[in-house]
Amino acid sequence: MTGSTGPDQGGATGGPGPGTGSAGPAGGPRPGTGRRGPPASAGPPAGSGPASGPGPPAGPGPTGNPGPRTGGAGSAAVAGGTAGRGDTEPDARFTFANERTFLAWSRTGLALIVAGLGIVQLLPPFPGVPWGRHLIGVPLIVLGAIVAVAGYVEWVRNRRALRRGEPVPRSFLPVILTATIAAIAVISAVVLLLSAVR
Amino acid sequence: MTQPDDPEDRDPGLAEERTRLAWIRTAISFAALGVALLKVDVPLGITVVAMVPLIWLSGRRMAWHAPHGENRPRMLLLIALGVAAIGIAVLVLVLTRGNSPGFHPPHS
Repeated sequence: MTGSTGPDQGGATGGPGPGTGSAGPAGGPRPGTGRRGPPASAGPPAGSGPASGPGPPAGPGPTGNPGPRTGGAGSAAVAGGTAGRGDTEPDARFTFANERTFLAWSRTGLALIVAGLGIVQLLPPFPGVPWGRHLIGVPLIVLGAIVAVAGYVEWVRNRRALRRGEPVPRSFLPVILTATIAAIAVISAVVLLLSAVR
Repeated sequence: MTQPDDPEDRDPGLAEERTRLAWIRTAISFAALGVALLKVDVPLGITVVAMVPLIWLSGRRMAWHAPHGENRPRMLLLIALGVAAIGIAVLVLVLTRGNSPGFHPPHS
């Protein structure tokens, strides 16, 4: 899960450089390279010239196959009138990376909830510390719910930044996650010690 | 079509496919949690398991349509609120239910 979050974050935050790097087309003499380059820069032209239709304006497409993604970005820039002035649809790859990041955070939240549930319901009680399981499990469940909602907030912020061409805002989720997990580790140690010296 | 059908041409960086797989992983996560919840509270478990096909299908719908559709934020918001609601439900469950004896292996 962490492994999938890392690259996703990198693709969403790294701008065009790492994005294309992780995408793998960098330097590859593949036949589609000429077409794969333009979509990143073809967004604004497609937005300024909506009448050009879904066909890529700069499309050197030797096969005449515009590629669904390029067409999608162009038509979405046309349909994106609700996005506000000056907003352009970013490269679809960034949109997808942002979405994957959100989904990864959702799964993280689910995993935290299931961990908390398992600790409270499946673990035998700590001898001498009857509330010990709740002390460990309840923060995990609360953190899971918070992570899911915060992941959505970050998705909205990242999407806005990507549309405006601004730098992606700093994520506060890793700090929350790290601090809470560290605190839970300390609580677990205390509960175990209390149970041992009972 | 002089070129062979290269997936990299249709889907640069395979971003769309990776996103579809991420949706499937998310659906599987919901399924795992739902089945675990069936052991604890059957109605809640059934509710969560019932969300799995919705997530799976919406992931496929997302992949079919352009990535900038207007229903996208709503779908993602639903997922986030779904996870939060599950968290709150589990929290209530854990706090209202009496002390569970815990799981004991059959041989003990």
